[in-house]
Amino acid sequence: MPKKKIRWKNYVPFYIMALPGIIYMICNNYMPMFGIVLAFKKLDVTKGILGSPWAGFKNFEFLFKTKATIGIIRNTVLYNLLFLFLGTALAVALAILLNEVKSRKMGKLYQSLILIPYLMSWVIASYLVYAFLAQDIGIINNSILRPLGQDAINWYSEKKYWPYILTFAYMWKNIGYMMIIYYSSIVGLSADYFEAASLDGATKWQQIRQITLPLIKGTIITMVILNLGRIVTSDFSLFYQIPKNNGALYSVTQTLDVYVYNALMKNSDFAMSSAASVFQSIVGFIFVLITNAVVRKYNEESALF
Amino acid sequence: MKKKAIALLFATSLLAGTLAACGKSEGSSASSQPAAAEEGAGEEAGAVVADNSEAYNIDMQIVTWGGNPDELDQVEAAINAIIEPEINATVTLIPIAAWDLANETSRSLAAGEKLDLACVFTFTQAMDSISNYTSKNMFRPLNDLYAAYGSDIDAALGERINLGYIEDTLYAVPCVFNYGQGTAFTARKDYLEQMGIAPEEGKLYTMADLTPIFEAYKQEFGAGHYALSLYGTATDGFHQFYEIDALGGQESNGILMNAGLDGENTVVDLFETQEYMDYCKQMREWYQAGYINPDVTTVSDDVTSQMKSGNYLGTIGSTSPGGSIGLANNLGVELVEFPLVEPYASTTYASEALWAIPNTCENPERVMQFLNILYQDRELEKDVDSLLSDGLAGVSYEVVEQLDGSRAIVKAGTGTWSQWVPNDLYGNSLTVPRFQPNEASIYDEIDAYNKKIVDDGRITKAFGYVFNPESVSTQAAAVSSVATQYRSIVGYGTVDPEEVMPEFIQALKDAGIDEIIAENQKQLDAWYASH
Repeated sequence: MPKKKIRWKNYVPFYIMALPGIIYMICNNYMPMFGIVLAFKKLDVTKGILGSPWAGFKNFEFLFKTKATIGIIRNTVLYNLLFLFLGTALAVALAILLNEVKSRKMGKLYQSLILIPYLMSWVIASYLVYAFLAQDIGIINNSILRPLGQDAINWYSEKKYWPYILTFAYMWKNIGYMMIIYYSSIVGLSADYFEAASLDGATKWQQIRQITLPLIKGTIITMVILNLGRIVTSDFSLFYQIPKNNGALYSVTQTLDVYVYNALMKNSDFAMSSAASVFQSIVGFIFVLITNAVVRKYNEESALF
Repeated sequence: MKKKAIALLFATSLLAGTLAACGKSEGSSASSQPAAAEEGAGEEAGAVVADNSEAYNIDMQIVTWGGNPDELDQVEAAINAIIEPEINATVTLIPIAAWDLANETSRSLAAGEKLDLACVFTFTQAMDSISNYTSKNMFRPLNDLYAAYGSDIDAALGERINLGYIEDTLYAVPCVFNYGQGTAFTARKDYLEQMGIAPEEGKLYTMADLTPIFEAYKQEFGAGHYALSLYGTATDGFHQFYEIDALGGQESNGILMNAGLDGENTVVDLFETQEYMDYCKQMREWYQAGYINPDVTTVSDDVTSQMKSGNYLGTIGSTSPGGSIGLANNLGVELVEFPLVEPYASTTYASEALWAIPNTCENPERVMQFLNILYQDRELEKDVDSLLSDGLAGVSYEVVEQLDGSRAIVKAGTGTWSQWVPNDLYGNSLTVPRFQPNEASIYDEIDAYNKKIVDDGRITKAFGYVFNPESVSTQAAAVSSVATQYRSIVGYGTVDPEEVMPEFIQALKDAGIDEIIAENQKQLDAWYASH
């Protein structure tokens, strides 16, 4: 019995450390769940949410009203999958590279440089992109294509470039942040493994493949599962700000959040927007369950629950 | 491994906690807000009439262009000094930026916060609509209060009070604004003189008539100069070249072509009309000829900033007496107008702002009495709508020439009221002080302008009718999204309309536009029958 007491004591500081985060989660993630009710109501503010009449699934209809819906959901899911897998691969690679930088000072410098874009707002990023891509004054058209004798490209009305532009913008901005978690796991690995491996004559590449990657596999899987929960929730600002909400590009840039914004911007219908987020949450929840089940089947150790 | 995963979960939640301030502000706020509505809304519904001996405090929104005027407290005190002895009420002014207004009103009323005068800022462009609020039962019906306390409002507004009705219920009181609007191509005089072009007296220009002017400008000034400055987002400029009645709502919900001035009562889908196709083709021609900035749909500078660069000849916009003086002052050049559409009155054009009393108001009688005072034509020092429109004499402005009632020609003072607060939203906005270089004759011009619209019969038959999209809200949301997507491209010539229009029309049909048009027609017919 006394043994257990000591263990509990050891954890107290950690719980205290986590407390602000837990309180934040309860206030911001659990309390609003009450609002799910709203998605099935026809809101009448004098009666309150609970007193308002039920509307069944009527609030969900607008999500599936246009033919574009399939395209919108396709965009949302595919971009998220692309960002997730490409982003994870790049972030892990970057974390490993950064770990190989021997000078501590330089390591810190690189880390900060990679992280800076994450601290920038998408609105600012959208103007950076615009500075490159503007038709008549943009850097690419004005300083690269025209001097080379090429025709200027009207970037903001040519769909085919945007999947690349958006992916690039997303990676540029978020990779530093994604990397931190992997970097900290790698830094935390015991140096003994690597020492032993290099004594046995393992090359750097072999060390990475046989030691680093297997040891951070759990972290990677956890992060992937967590992110899959947001599979139908897109980064609104990225898809709204970077293409400047240009109609010509919608078929490759419009995601669910942008559609909801465009559809409800003018009449602020709380019930319909709740319906949209309930839909996103449920699909996300299902994705987490499925992925976790798959992971558990192949590797029980790595599953979240 | 499992422990590690849990530790990681903790770590992420911790990280989330510390980063909460930076990340969470945008986008998905809608789902969390209404949760708060429960507490307030229930109990306050059965409003208690405040004790007569105690002054009732009226919480009133005022619209700003993003900043708060320095003399806000002084103006509030000046208003209170006038109204407290008269109706035993005081006022608290709540400044809100024009672009936040609709969301802010919805949010605070859904949360059950006390608000006594809410502004529905339609901006003569159907930017907002009463039905957005009445569909959630946020506003109080005003029929009885208006009959009891609104005599001065009625005298000032006349039949324009119809703008505040939904079916038979009065929900809001419009401010007195110009009956209607015309449009014109407003261009820099110095550039035109250099090209030897001047508008012909009494001529109404068509889109085709403007082409030679644009061409001349291009010849004269060359690359990097664009004849037409446009703010190319969200909607196009179709309504600036053709007479339409948007029936008090969004154009995508159906319109009367020729504004119903020809007696036509059929609600049509704007995007299927030949006129819209012609408009798009003309824009395409201008776009390809280089009269429009190729980045038109992406540029986020407003027209004033664009014109300031000196690279543009002019812009297209609505006209009213003294209307282009603001832009001319801002640019520091003289402007001339090429009229495109003669002024006419529609529900949309005649309403700049409407004032509603929300359900969370605790003493609607007092608020209606206050509203009535706004419409009285008083001496300048006692005129409450002048205080709200132009601020305080001696601080916000200096009187140059005092005319009768609250009419005066003024010049800028030390305050910042006129910089932040639009001056045509309160009470009778046609009689409030005007800034130089307007001259005393401006008030006669305004009277003549409005009289001409009425005398010429240029008032749409559906004047006062407001479409209520509640029963087709699903379709309206989907259509609104489709329209936003396509209008910004076909409407500014960035794509070939012949190619894209069939796709656009089909997408609208899939979204259910026909059901909206049918519902609109049904409501309009019922409205005609009862008017």
